[in-house]
Amino acid sequence: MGELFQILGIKRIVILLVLIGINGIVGAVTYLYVMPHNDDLTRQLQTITANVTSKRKDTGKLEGEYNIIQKQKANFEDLRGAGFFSNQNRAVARQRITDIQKFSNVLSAKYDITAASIEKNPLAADSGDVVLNSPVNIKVDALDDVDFYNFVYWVENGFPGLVSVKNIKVTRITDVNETTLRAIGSGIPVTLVNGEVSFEWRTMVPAKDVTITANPPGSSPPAKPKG
Amino acid sequence: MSLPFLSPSRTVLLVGDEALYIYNVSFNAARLVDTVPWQADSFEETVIGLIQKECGGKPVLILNDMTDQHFKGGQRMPKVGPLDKANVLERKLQVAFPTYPIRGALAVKPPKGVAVSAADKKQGGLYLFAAVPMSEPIAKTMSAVKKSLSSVSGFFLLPIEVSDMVRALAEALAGKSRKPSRWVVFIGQHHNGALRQVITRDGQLAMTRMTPVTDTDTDHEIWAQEVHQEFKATVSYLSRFGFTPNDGVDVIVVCSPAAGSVLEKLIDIPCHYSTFTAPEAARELGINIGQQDDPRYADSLHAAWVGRKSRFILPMQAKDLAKVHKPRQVAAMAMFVMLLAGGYQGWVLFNEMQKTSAANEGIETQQRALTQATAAYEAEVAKMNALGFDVKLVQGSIKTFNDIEARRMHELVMVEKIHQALGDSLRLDTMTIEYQEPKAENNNKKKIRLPDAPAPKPEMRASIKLSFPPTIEPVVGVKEVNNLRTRLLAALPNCKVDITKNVAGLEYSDTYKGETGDAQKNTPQQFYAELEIEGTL
Repeated sequence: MGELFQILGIKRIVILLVLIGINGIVGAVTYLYVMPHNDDLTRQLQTITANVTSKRKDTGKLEGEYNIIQKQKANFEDLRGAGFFSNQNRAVARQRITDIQKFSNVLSAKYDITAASIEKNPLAADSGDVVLNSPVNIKVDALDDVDFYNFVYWVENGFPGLVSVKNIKVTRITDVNETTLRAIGSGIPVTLVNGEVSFEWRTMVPAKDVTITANPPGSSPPAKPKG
Repeated sequence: MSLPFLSPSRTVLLVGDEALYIYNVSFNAARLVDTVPWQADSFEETVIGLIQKECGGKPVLILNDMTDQHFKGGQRMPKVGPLDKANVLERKLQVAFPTYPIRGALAVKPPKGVAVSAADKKQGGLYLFAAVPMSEPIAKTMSAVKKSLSSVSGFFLLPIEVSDMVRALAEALAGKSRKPSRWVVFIGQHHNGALRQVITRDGQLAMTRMTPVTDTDTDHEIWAQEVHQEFKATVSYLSRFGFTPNDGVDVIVVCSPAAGSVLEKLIDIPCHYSTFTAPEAARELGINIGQQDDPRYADSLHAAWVGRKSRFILPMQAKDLAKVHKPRQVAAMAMFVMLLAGGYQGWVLFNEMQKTSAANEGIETQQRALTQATAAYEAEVAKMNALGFDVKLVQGSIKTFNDIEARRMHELVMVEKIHQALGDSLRLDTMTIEYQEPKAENNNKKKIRLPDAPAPKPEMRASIKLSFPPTIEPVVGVKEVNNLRTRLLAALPNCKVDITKNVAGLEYSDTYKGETGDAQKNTPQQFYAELEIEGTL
């Protein structure tokens, strides 16, 4: 070793050692600290960039939805006003049929509202709601078939919720003759037309507000209000 | 042609008989730094000081210019494998020069255009062996070099290493007009006063002579006569090698111009005579030796030529020198590699630092963007919350309503169209309108409808019954019913209209019942018709 020092000289050995040391330090700093640190930074950058993209996308989606919902809000309020979210209270239905009967000038209306069943509509399920469906049948006596059609019109448009008529039947039972004209003239109600309308009365209610009772297979389960 | 500034810079130690001449050779100069006599006090310290301080510790090249150099030409090497060649050569050198520690062997190449005979090939290659005894000046020089700690480029013999310079000079002088002569005699006086003659044949060293002559720059006649005598002696020696004056010879002399002119007159054999000062000769060679104190001496030209070489003709093997040469060479290589590695690592580190900087900037930018995006998102959420109702309920209820509404039957529209078709003359007794399940659902009840798919159009089936007065002619009644069907079809283009019962069957295929006479008066015949309408609005 001493001979090597003599041959190479301390200066050369020191320079060589310094060079090796610098290489070692630079290599260690580069490969053990800077490169892993850069990997971390790159991952961090990717994560933040992804977050920014995601947030912007969500914001854009919300903006779009907000505009749509602003428009839908009016429709929703209309639905609410039209009783689409009512729980199909029979007293309300009774009152509404009475009103329509008077308004449409039909002589009488005999109605039958069947117990509601639950329709599982996937569109309503998103908000946790179900559709209540009550079949209704109304038999009407009227002086004129126009009164009956008027009655049907107001049932469709004035009944709480959504009414889907399944069938209507109108029958002229008597011709207009001297007797009937005399009766009409003296203020006695004369039934010239019989009408019958069957429809499905639908409203949307929260699923948690109704219970499903046991029901025979193949039929929709009848709904029962909670409490 | 190599670029001059890329040529190596070295300290050339020209070992003469009287002193050591130290030259500092760089790409643009060959400067005689100092002359240190062998008998000088503290010789080694002086030389070390000059190498380190005056020459900047450049790699040292030892160029032997002493008289005591030994050559043995025409040495045959037996034909051996490449692995054994070095050992055999070493052994032959050992045999040739058993007591000389510094030895070397140079393969003699055949002249250009001369083919080697098969017999010569069989006998093996021709070699020129060279050796230098370990004299006190050489020992002192080596000791100084060892202690100087400078890198060692090697130990070389001046006549051998300048032989290619002589050839290059001869070629430069011959130019394109003629071919250089086969024999070239280069004559130059060194600082120690000795006259060095280097004679080449076919570009390879044929002979060298070192003789003392008068060292004067004033009496050119005497100098020229002495040199001429030496030249004549050289020519007579050359005749032993097969030279005849008629062969032609290039004579190149480095001296002062005046002395060269005198010498030219004295030379009486046919030759191409050229005389230069050392810087002029260097220019002919395409190198620069810088300003010289005394340009008539040739040793600075030799030092410049050999000191800038990157490939040597005959590196001499000296064990003493190898001991320092190899480790220092390895150390130099290691330092070079370390420098390269350091440079590379520095470059990698620089790139990585740039990446770090870019990534930090990117993170900073993206964080700002994230803050803005989050704020915008929060604002949108706040707006949503400010609406005050359940968004899902709004969307779900509207979709549900629209879905049910799309499947709803619009029976009053059909009623209106039927009444329009009836007109004022026909009277409706009974009318039934029923909702029909859409055909698509009827055909495939198990088919699942996607939530957002449009609902199929509802179908309706209507039955109508009309009565006619008993007085009507059946033909007229039938026509009325048929016309009614046509009008219904026009009013309800998507429906099919069938007459299930007409007023009367008048065709041969129909059954027809009726009464006439009194029977008709008692119970008038009732006429009625039935139609069925089916389809969508």
